[in-house]
Amino acid sequence: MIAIRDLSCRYGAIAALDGVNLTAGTGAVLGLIGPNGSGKSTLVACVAGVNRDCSGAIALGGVSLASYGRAALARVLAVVFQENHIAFDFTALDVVLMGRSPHLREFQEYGAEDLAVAREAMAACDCWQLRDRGVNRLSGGERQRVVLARALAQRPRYLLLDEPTSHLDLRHQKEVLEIAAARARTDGLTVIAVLHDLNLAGRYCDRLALLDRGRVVCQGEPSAVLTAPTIEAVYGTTVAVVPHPATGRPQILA
Amino acid sequence: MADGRRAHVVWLVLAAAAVGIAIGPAGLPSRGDPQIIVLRGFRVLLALCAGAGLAASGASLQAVLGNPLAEPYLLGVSGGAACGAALAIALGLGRGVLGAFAVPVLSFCFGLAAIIAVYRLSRVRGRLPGETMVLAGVVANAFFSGAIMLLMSLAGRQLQEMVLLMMGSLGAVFTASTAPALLIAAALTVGGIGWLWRQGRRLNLLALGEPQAASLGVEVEPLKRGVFLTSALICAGIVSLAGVIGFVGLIVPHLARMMVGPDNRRLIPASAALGGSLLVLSDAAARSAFAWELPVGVVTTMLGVPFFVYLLWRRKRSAG
Repeated sequence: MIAIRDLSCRYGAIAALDGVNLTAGTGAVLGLIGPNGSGKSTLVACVAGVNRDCSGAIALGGVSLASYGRAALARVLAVVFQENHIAFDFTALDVVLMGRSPHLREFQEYGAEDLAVAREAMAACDCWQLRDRGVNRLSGGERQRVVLARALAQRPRYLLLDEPTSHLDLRHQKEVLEIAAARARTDGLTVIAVLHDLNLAGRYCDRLALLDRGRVVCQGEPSAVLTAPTIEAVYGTTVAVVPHPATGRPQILA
Repeated sequence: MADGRRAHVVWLVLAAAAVGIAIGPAGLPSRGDPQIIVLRGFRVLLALCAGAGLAASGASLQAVLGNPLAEPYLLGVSGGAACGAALAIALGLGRGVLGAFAVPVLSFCFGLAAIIAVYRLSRVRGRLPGETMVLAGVVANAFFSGAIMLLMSLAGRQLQEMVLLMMGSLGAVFTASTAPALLIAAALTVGGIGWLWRQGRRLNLLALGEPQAASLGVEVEPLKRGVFLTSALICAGIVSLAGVIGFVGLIVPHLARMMVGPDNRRLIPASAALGGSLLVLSDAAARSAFAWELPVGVVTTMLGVPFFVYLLWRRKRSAG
């Protein structure tokens, strides 16, 4: 469980986050939605411990984030960031194995177990066949899957995804979120995913939080958050909401 | 690194050192003149340190800055270190045992100032984009060579020493009073390369980006500071004895990367071994091929500039 209490973060005069209270439950996917600049990525950076200019309290499973060292945090929490430019031509397998480094001692080499974990993660993300390719020669979507596999190879208990589907085609968008949802259910992962696509958010997230100008406007089950009046008020445009014919989850029509 | 490869690396360095001692204008050292062996031994040690230190610094700076064009010379570290050394010489601190400490210390301070200034000037979200980094390096180098020329215009007897600093030369003659400077430089280089090698895995993670590396447990800022400091220390020791030897830190890591791949745990030792051997061999060639002794800095620049142009051209093509 990730508990966020009264989290605020300012960039100069602008409040990127303004008193956010949120709880992401164990074994579930919490989706963060909201317009550009609403504070979603800042929230992820704060929970990831890479943005230390925030005030408030964040707790992972009841333990304060501030009490974790970097290395200890990396053993329980993995992050997929929005930007994934990789300097130098490491292979896809090299990159995924980097996810094992928090679990290794100073001069320890990758062992058979690390390779097995990396292989399993890459197979789950449909990128094991790319293992010997240079990451910078992959397409944007292929690279995104490699980066997700790297995060899974960390074997985290908490997984943060910042727009994990942005470079992907429809099939891989669905697969990434299915992987995240499946890991949440089977391994008890706590997942927070920033999503731009409201329909994917409605389809795959157990709960949603709608952010606007650094505040949580509305949170709850997708059907409670994805309503025409709420979306229209925050996004400033008219929409229609219909149930998905197969799942009954709310879907937004522009 | 696999044991077999490690053995290759050791043999490469030893063979280069043997060639460096055996070859020279005076020919093969006969049994009668151990002095030539000692002199060449010092020279080979200096060349090994300079090549290894500059190449390992180059590889590490490239990793930390996420920029394959980074190296001590282009970043202005070598120029700054030379300026510090020239200042120490101009102040009359360059002689004897005192010089063995004063010259590297000032050299270190100026080299460190250079890298911090260039980093502050050209960083964009923690990375140094190629073009702004090269520009900031040009500015730093222009400033430092201006300052050195000012010192040269004021210098009397020390002019020759300053010229050698700017050209880059392995011709320093070591006596009992100047040998400590060489031993200090050698110790700084060996210690520095060792520390950089230890950071190999963390440097690899930086290739993913700074927040990504932090989320994998790397303390990013202390790592960067450590690499800057270590590179400045290595350069100070080398530059105060051999002057500015450009482009070794650029060419050698690229060659080493073609041989062992981008993994810094292999790249840093491979760059050090390759850089040391290459500089020993090119110095042996440079002082034997012509009737006069070619300064090694001139040789590396003649090789380095076309290589740099090639790298820029390739970047332009891949961007274009």
